[in-house]
Amino acid sequence: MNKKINITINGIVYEVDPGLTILDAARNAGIIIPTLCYHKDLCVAGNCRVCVVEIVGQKRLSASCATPCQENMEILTNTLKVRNSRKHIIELLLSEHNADCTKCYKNGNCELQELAAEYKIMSQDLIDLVPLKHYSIDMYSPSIVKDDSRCVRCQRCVRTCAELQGVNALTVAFKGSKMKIATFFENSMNDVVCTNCGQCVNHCPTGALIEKNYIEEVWEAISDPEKHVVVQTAPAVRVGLGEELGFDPGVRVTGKMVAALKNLGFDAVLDTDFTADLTIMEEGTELLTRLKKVLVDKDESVKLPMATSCSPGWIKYIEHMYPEYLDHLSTCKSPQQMFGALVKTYYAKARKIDPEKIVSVSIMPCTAKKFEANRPEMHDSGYRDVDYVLTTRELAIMIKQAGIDFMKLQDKKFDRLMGESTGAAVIFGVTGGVMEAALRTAYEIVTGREVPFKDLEINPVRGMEGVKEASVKIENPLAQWAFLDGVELKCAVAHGLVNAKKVMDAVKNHETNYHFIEVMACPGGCLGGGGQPIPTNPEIRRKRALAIYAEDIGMPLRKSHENPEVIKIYKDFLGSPLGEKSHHLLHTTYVARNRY
Amino acid sequence: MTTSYNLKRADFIFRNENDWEKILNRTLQKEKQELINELISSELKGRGGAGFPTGLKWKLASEDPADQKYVICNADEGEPGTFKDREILMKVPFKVLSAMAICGYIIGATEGFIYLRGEYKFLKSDLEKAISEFDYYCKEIKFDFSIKIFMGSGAYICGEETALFESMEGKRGEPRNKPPFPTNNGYMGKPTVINNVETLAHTFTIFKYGAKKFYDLGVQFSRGTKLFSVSGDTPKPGIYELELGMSLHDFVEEFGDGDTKAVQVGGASGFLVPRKRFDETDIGFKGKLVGISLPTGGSMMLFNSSRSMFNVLDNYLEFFREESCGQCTPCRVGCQQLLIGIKAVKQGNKPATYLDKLLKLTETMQNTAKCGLGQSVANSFSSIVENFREEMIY
Amino acid sequence: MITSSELKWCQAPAAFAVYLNDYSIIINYQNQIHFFQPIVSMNPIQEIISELADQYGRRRENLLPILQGVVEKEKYLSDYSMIEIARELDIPSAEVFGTATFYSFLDYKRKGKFIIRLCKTITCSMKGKNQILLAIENMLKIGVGETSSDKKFSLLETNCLGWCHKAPAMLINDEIYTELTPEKVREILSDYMKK
Repeated sequence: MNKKINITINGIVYEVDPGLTILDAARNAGIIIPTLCYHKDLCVAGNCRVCVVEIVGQKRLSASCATPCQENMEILTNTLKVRNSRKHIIELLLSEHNADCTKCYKNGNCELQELAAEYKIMSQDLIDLVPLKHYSIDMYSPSIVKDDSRCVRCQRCVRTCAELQGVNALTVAFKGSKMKIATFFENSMNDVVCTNCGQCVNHCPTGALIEKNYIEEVWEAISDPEKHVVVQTAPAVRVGLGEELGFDPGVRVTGKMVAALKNLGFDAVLDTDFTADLTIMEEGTELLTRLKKVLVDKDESVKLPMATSCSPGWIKYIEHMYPEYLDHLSTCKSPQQMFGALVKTYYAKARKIDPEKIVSVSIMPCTAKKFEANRPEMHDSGYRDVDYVLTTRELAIMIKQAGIDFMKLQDKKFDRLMGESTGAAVIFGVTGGVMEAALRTAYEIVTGREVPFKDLEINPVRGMEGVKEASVKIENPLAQWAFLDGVELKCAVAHGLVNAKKVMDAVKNHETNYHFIEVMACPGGCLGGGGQPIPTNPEIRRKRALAIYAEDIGMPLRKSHENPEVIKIYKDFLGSPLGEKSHHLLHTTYVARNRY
Repeated sequence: MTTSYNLKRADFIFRNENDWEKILNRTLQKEKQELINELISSELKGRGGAGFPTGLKWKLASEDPADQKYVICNADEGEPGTFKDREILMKVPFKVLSAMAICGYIIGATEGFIYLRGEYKFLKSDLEKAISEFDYYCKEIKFDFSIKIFMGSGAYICGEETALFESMEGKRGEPRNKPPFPTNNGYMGKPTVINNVETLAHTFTIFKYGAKKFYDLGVQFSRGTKLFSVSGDTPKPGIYELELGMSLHDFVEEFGDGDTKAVQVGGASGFLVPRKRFDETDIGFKGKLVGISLPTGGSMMLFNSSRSMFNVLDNYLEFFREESCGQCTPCRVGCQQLLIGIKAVKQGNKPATYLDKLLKLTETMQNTAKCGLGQSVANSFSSIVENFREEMIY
Repeated sequence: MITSSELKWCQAPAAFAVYLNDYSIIINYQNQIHFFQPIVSMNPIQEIISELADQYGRRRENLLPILQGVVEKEKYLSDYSMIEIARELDIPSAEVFGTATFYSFLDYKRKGKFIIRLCKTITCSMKGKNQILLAIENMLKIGVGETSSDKKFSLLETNCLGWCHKAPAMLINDEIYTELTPEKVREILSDYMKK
């Protein structure tokens, strides 16, 4: 029973829970106090000082994000002192900021710009400090570009990398006027322990951290008449893209997305969901094979739990942090890379196109995919399997550049051969989705029956909790799988690398007996990925998740093994899951990396 | 108008400490509440510069129900012109150690730390010897309190209490948000009493002689004595224990070289008082300098007419620009703007009126900075620019 | 031949031991042959850090004394030593870097054997710090921020050392020198040159 307290904001009395910050209390009262270093996903920092307010009786202003309400506190959010101070703070930030907005990637979507516009900073009295600073830009990473001249030192990226991801690639370094956000010894992000997950990009209010964009390269490929440009789209893109183009969060724009891609000039608009279904076939078979080897053959070289391998941020994380557990990873490539390998072999053959002329592009909610496409081993087709990876944001930019009125588009469907998918594939975009899809197929293969969950919705693996557990009991399996009779298949799902650490530490300390774990590097799963529309927060991610599940239940086919194009590819091309051709094109290896 | 207060010297701090064992033992026999009342009635205020009532601080910490508490002696003396804490630790360390132990007894802490600045490393071995002697005595009287030294590494901002905690926790010395306050959430999140070296030495005086003896010295709001670190254009540089409440006029009479143009009271984060204001300025916690209370770390730097106030301000701003932790916008960028601003005005790149803009900027820094460093830059900036404007321009 | 320190992980008493190609082969009294993985011999910095961690602890709150210990021995923190500290405490290397670079006395660039820190705050400035600086620069042929070519001296400026009544003042490593004059400085430095 919480005894409420009385506070006054701008003369009106409110009853609030004790300990609520002034910022939240004001928001509940319909008063918006501007912020910069504050973010719903992260702990309170209180360093930008933009959110200062006046408390009657106190000479100094207080940061509303960091000050808890107390009984009889009188708060004023719009006095002359507050406004003048805030204006000064914005001017100070602008004076050490490269304020040449027209040349900035985040022009139009920058929180500092918004503040400056709101407070009508029409002139700069202060001296421009930028020429004295010798800022540098780090462009060496294939995924992320770090431009120090745009940094407002809100430390959101540092807190994100520490609290949400537990990677700590970025830190605050030096002090005083030299204070900056840096990597270890100011090395390139490519050279430090960074998973490329792009959460820092997602949380950066300005253009200091942005994705490496390949828009111009893709435009060139599209305009080249010699090239056959194929595009694949990840499941999470279709529930995020709308936000960049006028829709509210959580609106599905699948049909419009396909139409837009066709309008942009791609020669074939195909679906990553197709290879997601394929991944389930390969990975499901791999899991069952491992289970047999461990439970029946007692083969010590085969490791359980098996971990999913579709999240390249997770892959790089485990390579750095738990290299001795690499043989727990499924050897399956991610859907993006499977697609890339198949497009220049299977698709090229079927369509009678010279694979040399195919440019394979993918639209991903992810920045780590850019790193993944660049990995040296991803050449199994004989060519670079995926040539360019564009984030959801980059696609939106291209759509706007092409002059397409996205909202007015008529829905279109994906092209054939590698464009068919099921509900199990689309849920790859949300945390727990890969697990659910795998269980839907594996359970049916083993028992001949559907998973015992209403509407195939495996609820224990759904939701935004950091680590989720589920166990599915196998009873009365088919004769071939008799060894699994009575086995409780124990599964764990983690999203956000800080939760991956929890699961891996539990595995390391032998505290668990999981058989199968799904890890997605980004909070919420891919729908919260580093390439998704900015801003991101728990509410937005929740809405995107609901959209993905709505898409799943609306699909005619809900299980990966029922996908007719998947059945066809095995019949015509691959043979069988884990067969020789699958092994060559659809499976990969990993490399141990430095932990520090 | 001159106050008729003449400088009153005292000699409590550096008086010998040979009886520390007796005083410690005697004090530990008393009731905790009695000791707290003693401290409160003495009206002792923190001697590091912030002036928080010491009795109240110890009382708040003692009231917190946490199981683990700490006592920390802040020996990160870094304010320009201050060197008294070093002398205390060199000459009468047992007073400080005893005071820490008594504080531990009162609040319920069994561990104490001395955060010693890196620049004073040469003190460490002698201080360690004193501590081991002290530990030995505590064991003899069966009093559970151990003291360790934690070395700093060259960061002025670590003198700020929450930054000090961060530093002791192995992190960057960046000040925290307040609330919560150290008496509830300090080192390692536990209730902590953190006091300046001199403050602790004064508590020893109070426990030895009683609160009244302390209270009877000084003036209203500024009871007791204070160590003043005197340097600059003076024939008598050194450390002097004086009763609080003296007028600056009398001070300069005693310590000036006959040509004193200005006195910087309280170090770079203090105020510069020009000659014309000596008469109306008292040194205490409610000093009469335009209604602002003068911070009393005790640093007194005298400047004669040969000194350029521009150079002085430039020196202070360079100091703050380097030593700021860099966390919050007003301080990090503000210090840079002020430094580069006064240079621009001096060189003629900006008009003289730009100084008024800078004054407004310091107001914002004072109102919005996260910790005392950013909040105090305005003190010296405004007092120098307002009183010596011509020297900023020509 | 095997050394006794390597033998310490040998469980059975050894009759005969050979060190061959990074592996140790031991034949014990039961005539059983054991192959042992080599002990990775710690390089000097790892040893220093391990000893410091033994002394102070391996938690985050022990980071600063360990950093100080390495600086005391090595005069600075190289990227390699920071990585080793990160390994010893199992904390991210970026955290070690971010913390170390905050503190002025934890140099991350190579320094000489004797680090001169000359106070540049107001009182020392007033009392002739510039002449002292000139004297040092002329004698050692280095400027502020530089290290002499024989790696013996580094010259830095620092903020208030707490000796304002005896200004100008400077630290050489942990030793304090006050009431400096150009002549006194030359004397002090020539003593150091002999060390």
